[in-house]
Amino acid sequence: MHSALFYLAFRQSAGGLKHRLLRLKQPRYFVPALLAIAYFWLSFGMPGLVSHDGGANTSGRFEMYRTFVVPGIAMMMLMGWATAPSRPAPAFTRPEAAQLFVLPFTRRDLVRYRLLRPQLVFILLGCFFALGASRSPEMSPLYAGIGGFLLLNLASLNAMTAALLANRMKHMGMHSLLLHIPSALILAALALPVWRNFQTMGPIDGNVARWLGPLFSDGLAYYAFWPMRQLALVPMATSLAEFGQGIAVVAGLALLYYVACMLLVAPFEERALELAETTGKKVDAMRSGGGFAALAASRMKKARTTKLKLAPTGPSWRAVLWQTLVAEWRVGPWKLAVGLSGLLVLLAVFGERLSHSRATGVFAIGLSAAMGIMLIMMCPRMLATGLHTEMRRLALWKAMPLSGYALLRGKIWGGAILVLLPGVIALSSAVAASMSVAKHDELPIVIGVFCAGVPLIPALAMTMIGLESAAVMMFPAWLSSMHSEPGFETIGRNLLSLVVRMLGGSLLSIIPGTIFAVVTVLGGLSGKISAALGIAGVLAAIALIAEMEFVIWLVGKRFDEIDATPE
Amino acid sequence: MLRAMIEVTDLVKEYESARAVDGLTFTVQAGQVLGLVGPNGAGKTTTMRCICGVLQPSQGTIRVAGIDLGADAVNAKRNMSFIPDDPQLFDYLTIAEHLKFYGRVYGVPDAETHAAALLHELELDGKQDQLPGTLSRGMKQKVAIACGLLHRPKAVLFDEPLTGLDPVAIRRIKQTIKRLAAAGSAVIISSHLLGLVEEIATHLMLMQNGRKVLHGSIAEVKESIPDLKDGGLEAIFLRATGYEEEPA
Repeated sequence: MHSALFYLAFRQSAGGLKHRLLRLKQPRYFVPALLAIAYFWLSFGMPGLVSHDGGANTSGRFEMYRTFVVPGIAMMMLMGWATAPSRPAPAFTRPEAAQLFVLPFTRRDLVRYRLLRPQLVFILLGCFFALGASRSPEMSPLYAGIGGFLLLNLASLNAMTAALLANRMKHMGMHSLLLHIPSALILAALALPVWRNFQTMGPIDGNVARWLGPLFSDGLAYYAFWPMRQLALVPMATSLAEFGQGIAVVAGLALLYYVACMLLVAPFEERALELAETTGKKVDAMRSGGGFAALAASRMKKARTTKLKLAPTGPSWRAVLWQTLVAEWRVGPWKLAVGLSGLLVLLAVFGERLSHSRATGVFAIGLSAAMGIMLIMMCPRMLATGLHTEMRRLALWKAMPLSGYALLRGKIWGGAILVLLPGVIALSSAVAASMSVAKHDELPIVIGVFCAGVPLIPALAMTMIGLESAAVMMFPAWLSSMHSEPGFETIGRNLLSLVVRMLGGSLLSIIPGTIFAVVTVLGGLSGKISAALGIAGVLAAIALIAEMEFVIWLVGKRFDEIDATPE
Repeated sequence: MLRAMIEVTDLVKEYESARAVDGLTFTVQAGQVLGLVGPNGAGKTTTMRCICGVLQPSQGTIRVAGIDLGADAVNAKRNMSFIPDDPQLFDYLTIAEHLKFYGRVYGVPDAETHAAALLHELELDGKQDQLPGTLSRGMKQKVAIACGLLHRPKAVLFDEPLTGLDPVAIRRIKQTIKRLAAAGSAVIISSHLLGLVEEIATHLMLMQNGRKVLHGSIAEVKESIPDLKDGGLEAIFLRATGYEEEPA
């Protein structure tokens, strides 16, 4: 390999690490980094956390992990091949593709560089594996660290081989389904032995490993999964002999993959450049704060003109509301959420009739509730044009004859309205399932919960979006750190963000919660629980919306004062 | 006799749905500056990317300093440099490290002194230890130019070289391009700035729909449309591409 590429890989990795360490001088990185360390200490390092009982439970769990590692590795390898036709070239970053492809390097040099580049990340991940293994008395942190590092490299080689083969096949003029032949063959080679061994789970006394183990070790599967079993030995080895055996297999496979990579190299620059540009756009979209919705926007080439009307005159917040609804509906996951909620309704209505089991109804209630909660909790992060993204266009918004109150009101109401439709469908699903599960005298409560839930869904969504937007307005510098390269502190920042939202939400729900409780209790005492729940829901929602209107006004004033440079 | 540094023969680049470059043949001699112009989608960037080895031609040959790019890409690339319009620098390499990397890639013996001279010429003194993230777009463009010129290439390809630069930097880059040509390099400049092309290019090639519409020295191009020979390139561009406004 060209020595300049060694230099590049080393300097880039070292520079990245140094940059991430140096930025810890700033409180917005330092505080979340401390939180992340505290989280890891609580999870892995706190004295007395390691289980030393050495009992049958721990051993059984360890054996179960070892059983699961084999299908896990098989799946990981298969995924590398299954996704290769959609990325038929080695993955380079935009600067790499823009610079290295025009420099005098051979393609094999570039492939070697690509395999070398993530080594620092793999070493750090190996350290995390070692840390995780330190909790288990059966596992050796040393074996786990080295094993994790080697398995990551093997996965990288596997993905590279698959990508280079797909590239070569494309280069030879093969397209569409033909490109999936390698993954189909691998799937067949892995699935056939499992299928031959397959039998229903039966009574297993809660031990899935006892059912799963033979699937991957009996008969033909013994030979088909032999390499994976040996690979699993490397991080989870309990003796030096086991570890050595696994290392030998890793070395053999790595050599095979490497030779295949070198033999399969064909012109890949064009596809790699395309891939790098597409990936770069996605990363930009993700970093801009819009999450998956922004990702969808970055892929979108054209869109249908909206049918939503906007009057040429009127309050300016309605223009922002219109812009939010149009843009969010176009790129956000709302259509998907509506579709999934619809499926839940079908499950709730027909599931029990078809399965003749109350468990289906309970399952539908659980799923619907989880979906509804997730929608409300996650909606600020789903928004592509929420304020956290709009901070990039702060100068543009500031230049418009628009008050902070109008901007925030439009954004927050827009998000709340979008959550309403899938939220109500998910609630309907839960209610439909509850009606089939509930006893006759419980039906008024179910109806009451539905009546209370409908007005509360947009109010709660408004609270979540409002708190997120308030945080954006209050701490724009903190927010701008979210758009930088992720580091160790990201874990702490996400924890902190969740805590702040939960805390803010709890404070804001004191008054509405009290109103809801008082009205419900009074209704329950007077024997009109259904109506009481409905009224309580409406009153609590009104109180919450009023509080949020106050928050919007308060934060809107901050917008009017803020400088157009978020830093 | 001048030596042909860039020779493109019957270049074709096809994508699944379209032919981006259609049978292009031209030569750039040592010391010549070829201005590559054309409307958006004419195939200029595709041509440049084919010459610098990023795109594989569907047909045709490209020779750089006499070396066939298809047969010996590594050696052909040793003699050339491509400076893109959107400078994509490595995030965690300082400016000095970028230059050190390029020096090692091309095996430039006096990389350190030449890098210092280029940084001075491009007014990047004192920026050696900065990361690209701290630089303006124009500065990044200058760094990309410095990296591209470090090994004294025989053929240089500039794709919109003046994007994002201030007037002082524009004048510097123009001088640098003229100096390169005077030192015997063959230069191709793809640009929409016809004034720039007219000022520094010795030759011009106008492309449209992947084909060569006009090609020759600036004087020859002007002569080819006699009623516009006293006008600027803009009038010739509009006439040749069919975008000329109807007389009022």
